[in-house]
Amino acid sequence: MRKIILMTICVLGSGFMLAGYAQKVGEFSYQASFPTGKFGDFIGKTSWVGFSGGGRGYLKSNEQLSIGGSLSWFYMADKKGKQTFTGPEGGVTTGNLTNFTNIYGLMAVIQYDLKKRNEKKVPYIRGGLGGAYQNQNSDIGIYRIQNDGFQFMMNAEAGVNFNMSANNGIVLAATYHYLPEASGMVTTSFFGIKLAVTSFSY
Amino acid sequence: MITKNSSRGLLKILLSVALFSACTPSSPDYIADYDLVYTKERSGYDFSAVHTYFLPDSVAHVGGDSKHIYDSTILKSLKTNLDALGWTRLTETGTEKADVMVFPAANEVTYASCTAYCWYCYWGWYPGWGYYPPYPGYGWGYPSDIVCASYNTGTVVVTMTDPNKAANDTIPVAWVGILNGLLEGSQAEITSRINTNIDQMFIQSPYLKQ
Repeated sequence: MRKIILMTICVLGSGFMLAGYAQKVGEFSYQASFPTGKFGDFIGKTSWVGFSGGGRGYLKSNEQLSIGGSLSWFYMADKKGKQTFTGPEGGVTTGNLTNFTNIYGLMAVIQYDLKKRNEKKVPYIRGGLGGAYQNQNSDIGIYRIQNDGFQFMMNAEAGVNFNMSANNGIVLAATYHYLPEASGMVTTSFFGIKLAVTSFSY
Repeated sequence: MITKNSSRGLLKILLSVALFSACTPSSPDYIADYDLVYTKERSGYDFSAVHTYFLPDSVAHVGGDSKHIYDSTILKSLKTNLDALGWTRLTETGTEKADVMVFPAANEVTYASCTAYCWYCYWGWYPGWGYYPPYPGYGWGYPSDIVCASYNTGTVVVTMTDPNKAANDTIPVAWVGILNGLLEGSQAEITSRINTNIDQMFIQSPYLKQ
């Protein structure tokens, strides 16, 4: 419970801070994700379902630095087919295995633009910290094993914002998400290629 | 041009999508994809000492009113696999004691559920309509659209015990094999799946053949 409260304060806090900024930017993105590490054993296939959106405000003291929040949803599935595996107590199971998960993330984000905002191409780096609700499922035979709960969520991102006009832009970025092991769920980590549309208001 | 208001609208749409979206993979294509085979042996049991076995000529059925349609399939498949281990089947009329006894048991369960789709059932009495019957607090007695589904599952449990090591009124179980799946499809299909999955019990238990 303390973890959930901390995550909520973190994200809402960054949202309230937006009110004090002169320039704000909204973003909506689509992402293809590539599971890595232990999570890659759970889901080995590329995910084509990932969406996120949010807003940031640029600091008056540093026009290349912006702070905000984001909300994201990722769905990943891997139909592994007929598998034989040994359980923790030594029993051997054979069956048709399908693993899948839905991840709902809420993060506070901070972004630093490596060039001035009015440049045609603005490379940037971004970091995010918050929480996520995830439900990891394994379907085998007629049974489903589900582990779900709240986890911390961290994100690192590097990309380029292509300004199409004074108000709109397109973003192409590489991202990495990490959610530490919790509630029986395996550590979740995945790289992603993100395409986003942005809109600025002054 | 996307304005501040349209950005907010976009965010609202995203929030709605995120809150109400949860994907699940499509169901398996074939009934056989629901089959499950589980085996486990007693840790440290010496299967190399097993040379003879006893297999009854019937399958015990737990609950239900089974017609014993697949008993011969189960027994024949077990005998084939046990013989392939190099073990010899003994009969109950013989004088020699078997090293292990293999007991097959089967169980059939029907699962059924019904769901009512009735969005208008939540409408109740509007207080502004006064005290005409049926009075406030009553709901409408609409019939709802009910969708029902049922499916049968079958389980075969093969228990291998060692009667020669019985102690304290307990016969130790040396190995257990469990097959679970949907009892759907033609009799020929189910027979084929039983054979395949009993074979799988022995394939994933290589320690039996020593």
